[in-house]
Amino acid sequence: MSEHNFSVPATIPAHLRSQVQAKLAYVDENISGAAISQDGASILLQLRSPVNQPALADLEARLQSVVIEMTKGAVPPKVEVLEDHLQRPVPFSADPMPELLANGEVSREHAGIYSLGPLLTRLIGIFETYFLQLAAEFEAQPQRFPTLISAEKLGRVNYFRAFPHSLTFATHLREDLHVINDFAEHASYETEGLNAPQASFSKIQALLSPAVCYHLYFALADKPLPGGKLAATAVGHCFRYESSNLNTLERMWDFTMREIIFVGSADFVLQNRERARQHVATFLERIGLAYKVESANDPFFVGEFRKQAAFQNAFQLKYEIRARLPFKDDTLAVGSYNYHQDFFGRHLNISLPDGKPAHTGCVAFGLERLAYAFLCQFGLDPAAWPAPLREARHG
Amino acid sequence: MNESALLEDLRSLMAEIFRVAPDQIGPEAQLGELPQWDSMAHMDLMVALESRFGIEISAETISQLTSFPSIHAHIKNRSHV
Repeated sequence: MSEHNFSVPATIPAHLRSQVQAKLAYVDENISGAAISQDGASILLQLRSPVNQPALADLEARLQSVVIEMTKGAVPPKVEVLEDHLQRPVPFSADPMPELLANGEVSREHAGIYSLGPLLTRLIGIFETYFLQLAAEFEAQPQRFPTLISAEKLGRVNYFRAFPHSLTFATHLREDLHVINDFAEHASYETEGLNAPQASFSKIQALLSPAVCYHLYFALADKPLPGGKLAATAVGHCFRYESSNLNTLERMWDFTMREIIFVGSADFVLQNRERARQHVATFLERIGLAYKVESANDPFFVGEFRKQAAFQNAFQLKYEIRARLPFKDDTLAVGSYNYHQDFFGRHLNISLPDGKPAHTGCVAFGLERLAYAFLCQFGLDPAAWPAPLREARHG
Repeated sequence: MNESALLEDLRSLMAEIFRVAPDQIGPEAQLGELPQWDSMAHMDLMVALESRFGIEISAETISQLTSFPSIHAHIKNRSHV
């Protein structure tokens, strides 16, 4: 491992530091960690193996281009805090992860891939019971969606341009007897992956799904929306590759998301998004969670980041529920309220009775993150949990 | 710059950003109504307006400048054209 400090061409503004830092992991496979200095004027890179001077100069050039692309002309965001309960008193302040790992409640299968034991599974079950009640308030119809998602359909909604860095591809061996026999005979896992030649694998037709609601929009594509409005709910596994940013239950490669999805006119979607926020606020108060709801943006990749993030912010398209993590004096996004305007309606040709494209929005909860944030605030002993959760656990 | 020259200048700038003929930018053109005027094109337009007319557009204003008339009125009030 080697460390190198680079100055950046222009100070990275405070509001962009975490977003720029997250992207640095994708600059080179040799990067194992990156940190932006407190004044935003330099970047400390940790490399897995030492590199020579020309390689270092090339790395620096790529680093600089990321910083310039993401910060040049960036419009300072309008930070809107809709709810602030971060100072709500909570009884626990330690990091629960060492104990969760030690007692087998969380098992690491691979970076970003974790299994959960009975305590977390039951806790998520309690949250799920509430989310299904919330969905019923909106008469949201239950849906089941596949884990795989069509590459053709994702391309149609420009997903590859916006989030190329976090894609997870599904492939299979090519239909070729020699290739399959050769794989069967020689395949083994080496230091960083399977040793099979890349040419053995098929072209990509499907990916592991990065979100739940896309499947509903794809199912509604190229036809009029029946009745002009729709509410639906589904839970599903989502996959977002986060490179060296993967970090236990805070940032998983494979996680579960519950969504309540609205499709219809702009008023229908926005009114329901707001109604959902008020319902969720009541629930989070009942369980005593310390959190805030504030404006946010999606983690667009470098080339799209500046414009897309500014657009989301300007039009108040995304708000995150950020729960406090007392042990590190930080917050973690555990849910979000999203409005996509008519983006999916236009790209997928979902039309309203008046012929205009449908608007869409969703309310989404990261189930493992919510459970983890809860344990960070209340600990692993259910006896210390707020009464509604203690009762639900026994009920 | 007189009123009609400003209107023509704006129309031509928007046509260039959206890659359409100037006559496709109608007097009531709006974000979302014109297929080429999507989120990315909107942000390109905001940057181009700043550069062309020497103004700064805040996050609050970005969400208000969503039609040809609103952009025209904003430029008229804020720039020295």
